[in-house]
Amino acid sequence: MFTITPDPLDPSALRDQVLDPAAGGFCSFEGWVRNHHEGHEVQHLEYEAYQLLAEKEGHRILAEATEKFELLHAVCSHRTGPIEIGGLAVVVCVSSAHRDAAFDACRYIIDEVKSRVPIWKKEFFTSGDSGWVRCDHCAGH
Amino acid sequence: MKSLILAGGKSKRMGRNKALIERPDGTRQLDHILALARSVVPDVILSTNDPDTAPDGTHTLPDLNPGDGPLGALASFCARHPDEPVLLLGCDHFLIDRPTLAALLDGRDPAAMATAYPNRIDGRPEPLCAIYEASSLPLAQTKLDAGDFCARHFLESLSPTLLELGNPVALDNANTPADLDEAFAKLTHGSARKTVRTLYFAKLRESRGTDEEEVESWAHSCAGLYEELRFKHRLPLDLDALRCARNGDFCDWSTPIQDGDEIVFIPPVAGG
Repeated sequence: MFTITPDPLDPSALRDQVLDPAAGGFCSFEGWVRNHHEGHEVQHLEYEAYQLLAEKEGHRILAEATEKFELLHAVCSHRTGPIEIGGLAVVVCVSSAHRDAAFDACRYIIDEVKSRVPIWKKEFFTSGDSGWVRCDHCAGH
Repeated sequence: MKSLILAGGKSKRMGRNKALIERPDGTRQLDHILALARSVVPDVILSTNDPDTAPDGTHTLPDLNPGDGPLGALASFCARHPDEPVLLLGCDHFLIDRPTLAALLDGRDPAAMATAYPNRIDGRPEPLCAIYEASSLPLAQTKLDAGDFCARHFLESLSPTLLELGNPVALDNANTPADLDEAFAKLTHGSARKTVRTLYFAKLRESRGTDEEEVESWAHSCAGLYEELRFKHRLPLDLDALRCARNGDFCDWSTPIQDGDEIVFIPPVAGG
């Protein structure tokens, strides 16, 4: 299950979605909004998504990970709209029979989400500047 | 009147000499344009600094000052033929046809300094398929001397008589390999007007000033549509930086667009 939502993310509710008596390992990743980027002080971030395709591509990534790492369950939720420093932008939760698969799958999912899912991030700096990440500056990150 | 074919361009973004590109029917673009020009103005001159590319028997005219672009070609023509009007033709018009040239000659307004067609997207005159009267030609050098090399500025400064373009895509030009694919697709499949919905996100949304719009287009493919919109709205991202989606899923740039499609141009993503 991959969701895009404008509402605050609830990591424990997402964790509950991957509970399974057959699971011996659980792994999660949380992406937090940090207060700096390449030496510039960040005031807040804003995310936007092409929801229809973002959820479709997100589902594909979770299905790939489930097959590749033999997961029991995988969920991911990404937030849109303005998020303050320390806020949660994205949460990945996976469960599997053994820990290796959970670690590897979690890493795979967040990497693929960042590079493939149509979500965009605008940084607002305390200096008053702002810019779309990978469009306006810091290409390649 | 003479016709002057521009074959001296560097074709930098295309990565190869546009004049030597082979068309879908196997003819060389330069030969195609020469034949078209000859069919309406038999006295043809090829503007080139590389006479070896000219077919046997073709008159060539080197630039007096190579590197000055189309205005340099007009100035060089003027120095040689000061009293002749000229039909100027770029050799990168892959979609130009005989009726478009014939209508330009029929509609020629000798009382004006020039006769031309408007660009189908921004309405500004197209300088590289236009008739320049002899009286206008000395002004090309004046423009160059003032440091302005832009052929469109020059043509606009002549207040040309503008004709209606019968075949709307006839003057679509091709500067990149993607443009060339689009032009050849139009040649092969014909062109038709369609109405599509486009969605804009992130930097493109801000630049366009809206998140969606209905667009009328003569494009064949998603790439052709993006180039039309980029030109019209001066969008800040090159096609190479983007992906595209049609009706809710990723697609290749060469995917044909159809009436009623929803097309999305996807800037570099940055989730997480």
